[in-house]
Amino acid sequence: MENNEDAEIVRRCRAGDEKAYRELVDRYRRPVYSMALRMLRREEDAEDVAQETFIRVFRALDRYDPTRSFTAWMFTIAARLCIDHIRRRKQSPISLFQRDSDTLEERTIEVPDPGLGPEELTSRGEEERHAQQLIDSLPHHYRIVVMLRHQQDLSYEEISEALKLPLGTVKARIHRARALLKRQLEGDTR
Amino acid sequence: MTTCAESDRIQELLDGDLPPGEALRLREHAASCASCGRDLLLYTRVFHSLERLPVLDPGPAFTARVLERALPSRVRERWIRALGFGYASLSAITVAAVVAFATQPAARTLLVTLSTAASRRLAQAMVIALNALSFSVVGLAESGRLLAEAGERLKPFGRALAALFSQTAIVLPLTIAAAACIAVLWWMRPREADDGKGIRHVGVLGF
Repeated sequence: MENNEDAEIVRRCRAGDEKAYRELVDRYRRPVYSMALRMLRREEDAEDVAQETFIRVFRALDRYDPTRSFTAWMFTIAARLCIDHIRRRKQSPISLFQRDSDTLEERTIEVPDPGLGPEELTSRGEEERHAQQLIDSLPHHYRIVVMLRHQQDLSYEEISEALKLPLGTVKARIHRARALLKRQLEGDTR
Repeated sequence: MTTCAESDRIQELLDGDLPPGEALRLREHAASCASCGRDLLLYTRVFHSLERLPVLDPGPAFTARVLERALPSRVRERWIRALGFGYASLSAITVAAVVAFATQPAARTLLVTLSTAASRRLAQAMVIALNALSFSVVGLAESGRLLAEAGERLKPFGRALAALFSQTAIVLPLTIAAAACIAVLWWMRPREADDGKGIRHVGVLGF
């Protein structure tokens, strides 16, 4: 149903209908921006990446295959831009996990979170803040798959297609990310 | 706490990937197994936390900014294409109309009359242009005469300067100064940096 609506909007965009462009941005600006902000953590960077995503989507609309999921296709572009941005920025992911050189196991480390500022954090609910902290604690290659799975509701197959990763890798990363989050919750409850 | 082998499947259960019978069996197992019960609880909290993440809105101004960046090129492209098609169609219609008109006998007579009148007008225009050109040449000759008169009046100054420069005591220092200026300017000319060779001069200065 949603895919049909997307296909119709895309068809109108291709026909040059300006309202359709507005509709498309209004429809997807929240999920694209949210994902970018959770990946990049800086509002300006998130806005830049979200804008660039739409510009590239518009430029590539003629190449979009309507039989594919539009959301997955759009998040392919958004995810790649986020990853490129992180690489360019050479931002080391603020991970709470470090690999032990002897056992090759990841262990929790204490890292101050320089992400969202105190004003932003106090303005949100405690649970929301906690969820945000959980997501922030993940390395970016885990964070992106978890975001696509849980916030954008993409299937494993769609994530695999969007990130050009084997299905097995996607599943493993999502399971591993959740296990890390569970370990963190376990630590909180102790 | 020991880890139960079944706990690996809890994520599949919460993902909804297990068949109903299998899912029920795992839930029953979790109710009786302390390790799996705890994992199920924690994973459920993880799933809830992730799904409760708020969707953030950059605001309607964001849409305006995107459209401002994206639309002009798309709309321009569309208009240029429409304009191109319109122009091509109009050109084709015009050519067809001209050809159809020119093939009529009455039209041919009219064309001959028009071309005769046009030739006459062209000849008149050329005569006017030649007249204008000749007047300009005469005007230039007149201004040349004025320049020669001015030269005559400036001659005494020229003679005075020539007398001055005929004296060696003046010419020699001036020549040396000019040569020095040229040498300094030549030395200061832009040159490509030669790797490390410049250091030699510094060394010499230090010495």
